[in-house]
Amino acid sequence: MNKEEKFIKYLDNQLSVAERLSFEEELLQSVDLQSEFKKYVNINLQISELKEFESNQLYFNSLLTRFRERRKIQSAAFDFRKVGFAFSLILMLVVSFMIFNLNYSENESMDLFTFTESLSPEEKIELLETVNDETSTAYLIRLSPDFIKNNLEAGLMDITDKNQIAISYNMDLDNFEEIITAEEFENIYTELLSMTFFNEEKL
Amino acid sequence: MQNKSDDYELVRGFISGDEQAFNQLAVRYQRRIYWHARRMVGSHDDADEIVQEVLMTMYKKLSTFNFKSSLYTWIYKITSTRSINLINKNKLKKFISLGSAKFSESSYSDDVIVNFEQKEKIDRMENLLQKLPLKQREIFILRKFNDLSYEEISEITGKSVGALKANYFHAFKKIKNLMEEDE
Repeated sequence: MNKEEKFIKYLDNQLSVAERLSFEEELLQSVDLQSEFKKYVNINLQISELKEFESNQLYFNSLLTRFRERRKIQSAAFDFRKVGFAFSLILMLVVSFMIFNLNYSENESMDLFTFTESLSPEEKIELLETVNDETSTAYLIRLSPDFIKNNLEAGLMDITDKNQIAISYNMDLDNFEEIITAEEFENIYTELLSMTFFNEEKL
Repeated sequence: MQNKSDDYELVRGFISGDEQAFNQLAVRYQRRIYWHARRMVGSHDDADEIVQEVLMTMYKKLSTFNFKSSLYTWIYKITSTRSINLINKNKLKKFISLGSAKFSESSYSDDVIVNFEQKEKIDRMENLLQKLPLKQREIFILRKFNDLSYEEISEITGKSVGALKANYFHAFKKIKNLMEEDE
């Protein structure tokens, strides 16, 4: 044990009786040791003095009152947070419900796609002929391009009535016959054919 | 130190709904909380904030007190933790603001200390304490100013008695050296 350790332990009552007596003996015999030890004793004295002093009682009296006020505010804030939490929870539920619905709709679309895929070729043709709104067409174009191409070709080959082409071009048949030559008719037919299934293929 | 069973009685009273019991506990310990915090953080404003936080924690957590340790070691533990958290928070703030922000390092603005001569001595000691590493400071304050045994400090800090003694020794030696430099 070095001398500093002895000083500190002595002041801290951490020495045994024998060690204490031996240290006191040592101290009596050395002025240098006494001078060094005095520094530690001074620290001890200063700390003891600082432990007991006059402090502002008003400040300490105010602590509890301020605590009570603070608690009231925190309690009100807590109530507000509870309302906020409940609102957030409701909002989360609504958003979750919306997301679930969105997913459910997608699943429904996928189910429709699976449904069309499961149809026999004849049933698909029937569906192709009867369904003509944009949304449903969007599902139908997911059918294989070859399948669509073959069916459209077959369908267009059957168009012998000029009236059907006129309807496709949104014209009256009379006007149509007046303004169109046989060559133009052929061009329109080809254009209609390519426009129909090449567009489908692109998609 | 306060009688254990007396403290326990008040805690039980508070748990069973007696607000007055809490008031008595607060009045009984508020000075110790304040001075422990103040010596740890070295500023009146921060110590004042810590006292409020500790009282709040006591109010909320007294129901979880296990009656195995003394109430004062439990309170010192809360105070120490709060003080260390605040010191670290201030260090971080200082680092983020690159030292431009003002942080009170001395207790200039307070009027807790009535006697001017005493105030000077306290300021001097607080400045010295602030120069100790945080853990050494905590142990030195608990041992030297709050007169706690190593066993009680061990309960508060979670450190072994051997480690505490070593830390206390280094802290004491450092305070002595700092005082010499200061003179």
